[in-house]
Amino acid sequence: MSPAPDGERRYTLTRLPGWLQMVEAPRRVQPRRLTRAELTGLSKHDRVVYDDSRAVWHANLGTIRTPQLLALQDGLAEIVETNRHDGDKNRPAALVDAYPGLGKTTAVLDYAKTYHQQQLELRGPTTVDGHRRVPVAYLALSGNTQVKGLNEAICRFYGLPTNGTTDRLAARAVDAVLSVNTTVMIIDDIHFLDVRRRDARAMANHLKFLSNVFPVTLIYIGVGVAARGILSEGLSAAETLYAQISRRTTTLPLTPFLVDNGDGRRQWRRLLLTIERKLVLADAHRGMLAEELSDYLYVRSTGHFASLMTLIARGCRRAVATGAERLTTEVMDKVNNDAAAEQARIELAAAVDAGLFTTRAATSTAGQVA
Amino acid sequence: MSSPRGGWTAARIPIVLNPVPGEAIDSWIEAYARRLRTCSRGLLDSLGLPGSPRHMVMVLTDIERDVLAAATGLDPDLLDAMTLHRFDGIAVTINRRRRIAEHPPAWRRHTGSRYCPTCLREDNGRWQLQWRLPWTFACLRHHQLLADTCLLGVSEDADESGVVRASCAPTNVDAGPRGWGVRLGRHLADGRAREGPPGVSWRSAPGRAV
Repeated sequence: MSPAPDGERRYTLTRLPGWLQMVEAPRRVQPRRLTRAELTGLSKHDRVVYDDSRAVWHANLGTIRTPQLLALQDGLAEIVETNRHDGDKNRPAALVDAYPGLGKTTAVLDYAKTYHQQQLELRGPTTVDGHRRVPVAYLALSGNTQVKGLNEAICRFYGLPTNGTTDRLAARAVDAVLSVNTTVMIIDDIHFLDVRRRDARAMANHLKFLSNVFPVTLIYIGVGVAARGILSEGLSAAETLYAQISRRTTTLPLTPFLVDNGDGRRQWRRLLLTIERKLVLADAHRGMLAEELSDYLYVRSTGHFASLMTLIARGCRRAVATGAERLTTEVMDKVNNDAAAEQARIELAAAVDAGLFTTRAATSTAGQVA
Repeated sequence: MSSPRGGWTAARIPIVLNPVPGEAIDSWIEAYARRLRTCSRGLLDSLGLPGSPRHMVMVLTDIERDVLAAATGLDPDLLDAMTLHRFDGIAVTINRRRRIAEHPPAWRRHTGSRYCPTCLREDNGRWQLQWRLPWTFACLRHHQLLADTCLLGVSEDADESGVVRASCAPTNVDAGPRGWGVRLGRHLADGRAREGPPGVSWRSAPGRAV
């Protein structure tokens, strides 16, 4: 008996092979939903394989194009696709600045994947000079990334040597970006750039240098970037006028689902209906999430998309493991979620209990969040 | 991990530098490294290959062949053809354990590589494999004898009579293309190394018509 493939795609987006794997990965195929009788009829091995395939599927339900995500991607497209300036002009950058758990990176990656594919379709996989065309590069900063480390990260992404001095690395990085015709560079976790530190000021200057010499659109992703003063490069309020990054960067928000009006509640309901269609549980049914768990899931996720998806994946795992084969409050109560969502949950749950809050579009008790 | 797009596999270095026809593998590695703004060692380290290009030009190990083919997209047979492997026992004798050249079976011992300075200048410092063979002594492209001493040394370190001092190129042309060849090609191009210096023996007199 041959071992079953685990179905997971273990790519690292900060390396070109991993990035390409993500870009070129075929859409996952939803496992067929078996009835309880069919589940019982499976051999022990087949049942383990089936459950494993469901676990992978539920953990990777794919990008759900929520209104928030579509609005963000529209903003990105506007910036990237109008950046067709000649090389002597600076290209405006985009900053996706939002709270954690909203799916910032997922939304940007989804846009970048489409952009990458479109560019290859439009211009071919090989540049005029015979190099590979790599329309998008992805970097993630860490807590102690410095100028040399950023250049190393660029070279590492392209699979190029990472030896040499800071200047040599910068030259190699610039050459690579130009050679492979990269036009979008994503720099994730930009909030790690602490501009109060001396070396971070150098880093901010280096980012300015990159935006000057690279004919690319930089897309920064971070949490509380504006509040940390990263855009103003750590300058005082009086000096902020000189902050070129701020002047050249358009901030794009990604908001949580808000259910304080009818439109918001209808969006929340549509999201839950979309998700429940994707679930592969024997006793799943229409309304399982959108009707029965609407308030509950909002309270637990506080409208944060990534928190919601984590909760759903874990709930499905528990529903399979316990044989419940459906999501209920009893099943979900045993699921842990991220700490921030759990903290916020307490206040929201009290509001629901007091009848002050609902996510249901049809009800007339459309109260505000307490 | 292979991509259906344009024959590009995921493991390939996205920046391409193809060998020139007839080029030796050590020269190509050097040139590729230069294209990537590093040195041969930097490039080979990034590919996880501890071996030296000086040894690779004798014969490639299976791992070196596989890694270089995957990283550059070149055919493994072409990589082998850029080494002296196929001349082993004919024009060269390769000590396979140490991957060095020993006394050839029927030819006068010849270390390192001869070269045509005009080719080096025109090809931007790219070295031909055949220059390493003892039976190759002339450039058929430029109709001149090959040189086997360092022109860079002649230009910078020759004494008044133009005779090359042994110290000018410590390993003679055995240095091959390890940076030195590239420098030489460049210096030939900008006039800092001269073709056909006076007062040197016929073996070191490139440019002499044949």
